[in-house]
Amino acid sequence: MKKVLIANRGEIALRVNRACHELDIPTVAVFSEADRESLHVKRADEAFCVGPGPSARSYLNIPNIISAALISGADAIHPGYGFLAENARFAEICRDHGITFIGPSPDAIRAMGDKATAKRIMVDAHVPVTPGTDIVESVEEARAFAESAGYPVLIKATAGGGGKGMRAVHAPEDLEQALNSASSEAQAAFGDGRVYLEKLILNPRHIEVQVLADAYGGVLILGERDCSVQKPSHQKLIEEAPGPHLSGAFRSALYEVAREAVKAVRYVNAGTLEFLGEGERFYFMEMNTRIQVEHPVTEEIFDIDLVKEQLRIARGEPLSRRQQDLHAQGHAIEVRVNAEDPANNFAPAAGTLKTVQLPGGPGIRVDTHLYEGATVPPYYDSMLAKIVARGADREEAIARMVRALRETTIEGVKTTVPFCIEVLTDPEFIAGGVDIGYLPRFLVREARLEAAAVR
Amino acid sequence: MQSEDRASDVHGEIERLVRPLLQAFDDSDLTRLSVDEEEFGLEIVRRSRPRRAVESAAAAEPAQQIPAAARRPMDVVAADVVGIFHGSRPEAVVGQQVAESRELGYVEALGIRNPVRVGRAGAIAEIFVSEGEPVDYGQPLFGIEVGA
Repeated sequence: MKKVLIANRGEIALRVNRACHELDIPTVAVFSEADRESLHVKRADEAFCVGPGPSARSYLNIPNIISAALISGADAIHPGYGFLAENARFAEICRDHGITFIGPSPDAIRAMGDKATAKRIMVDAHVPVTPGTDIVESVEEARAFAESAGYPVLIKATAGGGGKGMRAVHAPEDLEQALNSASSEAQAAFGDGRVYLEKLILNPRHIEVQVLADAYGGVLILGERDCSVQKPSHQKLIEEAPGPHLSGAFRSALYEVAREAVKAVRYVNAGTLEFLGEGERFYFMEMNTRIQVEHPVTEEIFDIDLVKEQLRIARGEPLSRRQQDLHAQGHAIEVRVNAEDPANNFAPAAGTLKTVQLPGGPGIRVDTHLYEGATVPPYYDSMLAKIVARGADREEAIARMVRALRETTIEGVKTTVPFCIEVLTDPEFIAGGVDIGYLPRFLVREARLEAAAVR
Repeated sequence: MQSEDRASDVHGEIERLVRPLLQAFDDSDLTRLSVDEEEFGLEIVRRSRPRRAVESAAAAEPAQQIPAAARRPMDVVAADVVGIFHGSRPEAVVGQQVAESRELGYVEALGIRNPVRVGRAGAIAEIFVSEGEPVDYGQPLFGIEVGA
């Protein structure tokens, strides 16, 4: 690996750039016209503009990105997250041009990217998935499943999308009517009225497992992250590792399943298996075949550099660590500092940053592309920075995070900083182990308090 | 409270009066403007050259009444793909007259030759690129003095 092209922007482009430079690998940045003054462009050894602001014409412009790699002599591409990271076709195109795609094989990306295929592979590997049926032919068949799995259940259209043909059923007497209306809605919307049933898990926890696998069958299970603090749009806002209040039995079963899943997919490089957790049970949701936004919390407690491991695996090296040598230490929390207005349904904001004062001190890590005077273009994800706090235990990690957020000043756009301080000081969050319904409930509670105060 | 209100009223009033004056001054070529009324006085002095003159020299399409010596508008022919530039033969030279859509070379990307064409007819005023040079999106390749 002589030179790495980083096909991304923002903090993750910088993160990859850092890992490359630590391994003495020169880097090539790509950027859109809106990002000409971005930090990732300045920090890379070379940079190519690949298109105008909108990402469809720049960060997703495969011909220009591949051409930039070829003319700069980059023999590998790191896709970061988002954009082309889970595009199997892009990974194939890289391979066809003799460029190493730093990630799993196109086949693995494709298999995990298709929900039905992913679920079938996981079932075959004895990974627990949300209990469900094939196409149901009769009300009796649906009723039998609902009785055995327990209500509530979810009726889904096989051709479905966008919630069309979907019905939640909470009681047996509603089943037949819901089945009929879901089916006729699906017929009208997709010309295909076939439906199936799944157990509906109300407000589960979002628990995910970080894995690393090399090309020689070596697999590392790097514990779990709890990402249950999600906005009403299901976007993660606060993540932590390890997951609070998980039993030893839950953890060992989870890790064992994750190991089996990785083997079943013959997965190579870094990946994340996402599960829905409900009590002592968990169900496979999906596998993300890339580095994730929240990877730093795992890095902090395992003292490992996941991006450097990705680079080493991609250049054909075996894993640098053994499972028995990996021990999680302490607790880490990440807050996503987004250019958003929590009071206005997290509407994204764009603008120029007048003041940027970022936190520091013991246990604080900040991954960001921000600087004073930087602009936040309207075209991309609204994430400005990730603040990560590590502590000997969860209590210390929270205290450090609250302190760090209070040290943070960003002027020019509204951010999630003040809102996250409220969440981190909320007794329910402090108690730990919240489910994905927590943040929407918190928002309703805050809105009520505010309304009461106004009255 | 009341005196504060009055102060902010006065400030509001002054702002209301001054803002259009500043705008008009800014849009003009004046270097000095003074107002001397009974209750209100103001003098604005411009230290730098009038802004408009500076801008029009740099603008792509300047206003009508510019001196004859000033430049005609220049179109920039830019690369629209990332690749390697190759010029047409014979090589383009400064001062050369070029017709609309004339091909001045191509950018080779992934084995495909993407032609570089003149937009509006004129004379080649600048050549920003050299043979075999890697170019990226939006990179200026030629400057064309339109209508020259």
